[in-house]
Amino acid sequence: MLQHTNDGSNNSTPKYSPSTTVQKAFRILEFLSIHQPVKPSFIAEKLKLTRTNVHRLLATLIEIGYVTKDENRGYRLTFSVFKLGSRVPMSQDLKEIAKPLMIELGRIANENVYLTVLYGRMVIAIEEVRSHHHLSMNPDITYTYPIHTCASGKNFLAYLPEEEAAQILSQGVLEKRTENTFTTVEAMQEELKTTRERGFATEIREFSDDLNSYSAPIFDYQGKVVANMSISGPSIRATPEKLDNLVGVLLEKTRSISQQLGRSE
Amino acid sequence: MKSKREAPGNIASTVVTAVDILEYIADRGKVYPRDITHDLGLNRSTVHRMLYTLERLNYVDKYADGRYRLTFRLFEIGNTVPHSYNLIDTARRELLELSHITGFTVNHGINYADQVLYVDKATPAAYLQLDRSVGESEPLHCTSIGKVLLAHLEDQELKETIDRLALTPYTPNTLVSPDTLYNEIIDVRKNGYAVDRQELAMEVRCVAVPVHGHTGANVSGISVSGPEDQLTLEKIERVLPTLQATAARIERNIRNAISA
Repeated sequence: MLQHTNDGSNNSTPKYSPSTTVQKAFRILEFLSIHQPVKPSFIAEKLKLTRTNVHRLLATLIEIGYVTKDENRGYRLTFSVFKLGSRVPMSQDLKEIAKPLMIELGRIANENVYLTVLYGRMVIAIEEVRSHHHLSMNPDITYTYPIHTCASGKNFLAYLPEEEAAQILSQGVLEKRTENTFTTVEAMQEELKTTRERGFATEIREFSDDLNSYSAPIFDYQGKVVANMSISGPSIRATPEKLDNLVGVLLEKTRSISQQLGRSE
Repeated sequence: MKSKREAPGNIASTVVTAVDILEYIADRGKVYPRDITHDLGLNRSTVHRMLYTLERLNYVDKYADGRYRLTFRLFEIGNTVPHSYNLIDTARRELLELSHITGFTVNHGINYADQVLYVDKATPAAYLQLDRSVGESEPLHCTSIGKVLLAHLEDQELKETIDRLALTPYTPNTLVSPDTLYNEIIDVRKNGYAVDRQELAMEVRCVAVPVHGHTGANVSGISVSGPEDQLTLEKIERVLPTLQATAARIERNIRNAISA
């Protein structure tokens, strides 16, 4: 198994100073990924860069093929960035490592098992193993979940510094999906504390009245939560009692994945 | 190995170098700095400085054995592109349902750089698929989505595109003559759907219809594909109305998303 020594940037080639031009270019790429299409003046203003700087870097990114001008609406990323991102082996590694364990867990739980990642304030299921019950989750249920409504979202937030979690939560309204949804930052923070102490997150009719879910975090070598594995099912069948009985196996699986991602405990 | 890009005039050459390194790592998976130095013809301190910069930015990380690989970061950023064109949110639910109803794999693709670029995919079921076609490209001339996308082009553009395509034979059924392909595309235009009759792989058949109205991408294609012994030509006829209904629903979702 591969082990990381990189526990921060300190011990990796410290004699080099980073290229500020490259840093600015990637700040622009990241800014575009969130705000596209976007006008250069907005980039300059928000990233506190000079207009000359922004134009030169945009010209460079266009030359490379990563950015395109969208008529009069501004600049955006091209599908070349999507293609490049799709080649990141980590996502495959993660799925490859997780897949057999998800299948095992699915077999034991006989409920749907998901592998989720965080994108902005949304939790996205990137893999699933379906249960064999006839009453399985409706396939037309959306596969993205607002961060405050799902068990996985709580795990992503629970291991961030409290201010950072609060900041993410404050970026928008906490939509009330059901009577049980946590809709205030304060209530969420209390729940995150419990989640952290317990080592897994629960979701009891919070995203949907018909749905319960337990989720356990997957950590990378830096101790960052990079993904979650969760068990979800209809609330009439996947009761908290049933999920309580499965959480031990769930944690066993996520610990194994974290170890394979280089986490040493 | 792709050649280094030229950096004309007002171009930040350090950014070009950094991206060359990122793409080199994407090609190889895990690489030693010395391989980058050697294969890209860069000097050692440049490579180390760029890797240090990319590591600080969280795009690469380093193994104990000294090799570098890409992190999840590029995946996150890249994924925003199809989302920004409304290709995912308006269609995913319908793709899943179509896959569920038919029991076959459903793909969603656009025409990008003269290829079908798959932006989303739904599989019917229980087990995770080994292949991962999202983000990958396939030829236009021998896939059902490719033919649907070709059929969307204006006649002149269609002819020019066909002239540019390599028309590589993959199976005995692949259409490799420009004239035959052109006639096939005219049929697709008339019929409103396209069939891949084991033209990319002998084991697989596909059927695709266009989806209109995306912002930016204009048209995309959705397909149902399955093993040739299950997705027979008769079965394709039976699946087609469901596929067309799915496309209509996605088009409605797009209209709603745009007017929202």
